[in-house]
Amino acid sequence: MTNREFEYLIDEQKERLFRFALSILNDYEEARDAVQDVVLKLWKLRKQLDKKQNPESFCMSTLKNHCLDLLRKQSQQQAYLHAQPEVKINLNFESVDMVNQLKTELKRLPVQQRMAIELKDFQGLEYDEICNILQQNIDAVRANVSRARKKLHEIFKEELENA
Amino acid sequence: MHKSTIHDFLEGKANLPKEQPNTNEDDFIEVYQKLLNETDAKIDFDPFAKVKAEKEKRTIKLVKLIPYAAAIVLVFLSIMIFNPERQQPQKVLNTTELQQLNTETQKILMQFSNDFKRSFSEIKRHSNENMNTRNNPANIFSIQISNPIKNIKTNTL
Repeated sequence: MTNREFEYLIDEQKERLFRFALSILNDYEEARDAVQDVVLKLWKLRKQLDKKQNPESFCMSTLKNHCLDLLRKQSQQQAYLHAQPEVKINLNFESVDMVNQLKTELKRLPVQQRMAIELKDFQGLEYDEICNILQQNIDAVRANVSRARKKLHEIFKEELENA
Repeated sequence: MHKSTIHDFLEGKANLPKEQPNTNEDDFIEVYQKLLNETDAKIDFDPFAKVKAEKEKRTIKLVKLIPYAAAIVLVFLSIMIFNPERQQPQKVLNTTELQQLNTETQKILMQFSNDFKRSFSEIKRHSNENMNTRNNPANIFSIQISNPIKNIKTNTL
């Protein structure tokens, strides 16, 4: 893969990469650094990208692994699997509309559910591609998507009842 | 909005339904759709920033290596050019010359061998003559007179 082809590949999906990193790390600067680090890593491997069946999925998968490694190192922020992240939430529900409330709850979801919902609903990918990126089977991905949607639905219903 | 649709959506079996809202469940769909539309993380940085920095670093390293590489090449060339052994052209002999050289060498060796034999036989002859001269009775006495140890009695030693 030439330099020009590599730049085109990254340019086409840089928003997707950044959104995905942001969904995992919940921090703008960390997500930015993660994207730049992964782009550098992929640039060093650009000659091997030609051999990949789906270079876009490979880029997303590499980013996922990089972000999860970062999370592991940041032990005070959240554990790797299913612990709740410490995200400051605004408890004044009257002033926060429903969309913002769901945004906040989205950040509180466990990382596996956040990744699944980001790729399925926000980026509109099919389950096959999500399985390739997350390196999980389809049942695991569907379960995480379902749990995330149900959690958001519960929060929505609670807010509605409170209102 | 059919309950099965929202149920399928929550189970992860269906995508976000696109029907018009008319129930509370549809309110959730509407809010969720708004959430998807509003969450728009714009990228306002250069994703290639670190790649450019890496390229610059490699260029600087290469520029620093050039004088070292040039020095090594110069030393190598000077050794190759000014080596005295290399300045003398090596003579390559053909088959005829080799045979001629071989023949002459054998001739010289044969001559040397004959000279050596002759010299050796001369030396032998001279040494035999000397022996004969010493054993001559006319000379034995004179030898004994001048013999420094002739008076030493060996039985008293």
